[in-house]
Amino acid sequence: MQIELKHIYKTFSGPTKALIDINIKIKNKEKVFITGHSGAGKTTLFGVIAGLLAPTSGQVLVNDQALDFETYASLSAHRRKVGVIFQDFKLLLDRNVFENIVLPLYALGEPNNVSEVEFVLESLNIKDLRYKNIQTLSGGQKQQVAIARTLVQKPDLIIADEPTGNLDLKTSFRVMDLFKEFNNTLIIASHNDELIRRYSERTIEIQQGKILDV
Amino acid sequence: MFKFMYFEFSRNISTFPWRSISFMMSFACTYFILIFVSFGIKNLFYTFETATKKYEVMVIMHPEVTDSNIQNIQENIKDIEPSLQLTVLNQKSVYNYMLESDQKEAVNLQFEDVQNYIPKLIKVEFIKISSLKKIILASKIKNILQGKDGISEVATPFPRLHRLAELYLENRYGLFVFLAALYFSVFILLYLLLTLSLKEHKNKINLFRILGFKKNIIRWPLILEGTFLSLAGFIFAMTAMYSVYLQMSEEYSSIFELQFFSLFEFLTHLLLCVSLVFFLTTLLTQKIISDDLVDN
Repeated sequence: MQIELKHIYKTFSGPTKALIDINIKIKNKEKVFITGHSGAGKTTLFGVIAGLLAPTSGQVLVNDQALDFETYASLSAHRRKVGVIFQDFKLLLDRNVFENIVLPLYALGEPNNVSEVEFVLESLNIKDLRYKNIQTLSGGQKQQVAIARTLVQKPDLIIADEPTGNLDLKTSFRVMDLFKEFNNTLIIASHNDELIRRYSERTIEIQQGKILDV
Repeated sequence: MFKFMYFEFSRNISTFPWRSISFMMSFACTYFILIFVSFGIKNLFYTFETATKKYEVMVIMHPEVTDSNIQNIQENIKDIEPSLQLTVLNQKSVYNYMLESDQKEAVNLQFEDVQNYIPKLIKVEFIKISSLKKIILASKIKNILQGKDGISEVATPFPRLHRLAELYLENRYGLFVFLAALYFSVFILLYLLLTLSLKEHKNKINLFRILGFKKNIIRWPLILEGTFLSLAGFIFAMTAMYSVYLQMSEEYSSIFELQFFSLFEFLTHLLLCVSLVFFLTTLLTQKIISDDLVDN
């Protein structure tokens, strides 16, 4: 999936501008790292790219087609093609690991594609967590479940906000290797220099809502 | 997808049974207030209706009352309402009437022996007049004629209803305002209740939106849940009302007769309560789905 942002501004209520004149083009299958301090605007930027937040002004082009933020059907179709891994994981606490991971398949209309879930559980080495309740998992395990849920979706674009923040270095590398194998566009926010050095094709720095360096 | 929607709906209900029960009970309490007031108003009119089915006022006059006095009294009654039908009963007719009635024992004498003691009567009948107006007119007749020359007594059936009917007439606009305020409060209560219920599901709704679920798949399980809990609450409230009705019927059967809701009224209330929740849930889910997905 190719993403292009043209003159994107995002203002929340109050004087703070979260994004100021953002212009980026991320090519199909490109692996991009986004860096920046907390509050720099990374999450807002991800929200706009994923179709979760409408920009105050500007255009988001997906494969050269403008994303229509007004229509729910068009947004949900875009969201089904984008997998987002959040810092807070956004897992459903009243369900077990398997029930959380299988959710995107219902959105895609393929609830019986259980083999995909098995494959992802195997790849992340979390098969034994399958029937565990989310509330009983550690932070790292929750992060792996969130990653597994995104991989099951087989999205055209993965957006990951600090996906390895709660993982040890070995697991981080395994997750990043999985992402690398994932033959599509990838946008990752990370502060981990080692990961950036190893896996980044391009790094974009964002500060106070502005792109500082591409 | 229907399977998934049903699965989500049943999960919403069963995962936190105490939450579901407390929401159902809150619906039940809200509906009970509404049903109780409806029941009260229905029975107020039902009492007026049943009490005035065979309704007539008897103006009892002294035996020595003159024809001109009777003429005056009739004119006084006609002044109150010209459409009233008046029948003057002479002493012989009254004697016969008493013989046919329960007072047979009291007049176990020949007419000639008691002629001087039997009163003359004017029977006032109400033709094509609403039950409430009948009571009010009877009350007016009594107030105006009582104590006038030649009149011994003005007998009206169910005299306690006079005050009730007057109270209703004096305060009917207040009652309408009260009812409007009650319906508005019920609307607000349901709105707050559903907002609270949907807030419980907000994380799940947002996740479903992030994953690209279609709008209907997100909304229908929530609409079904709200409607189901509302229906259960309604049945609970109606059952409670029925038991109150049984208790009251037993307790006050000697004073007045009560009537429970007919099937039509039951279904009307059911439709009103459940469709209100259906409408509000649809509205609120639409609002939640349109909210921003990422916090600032």
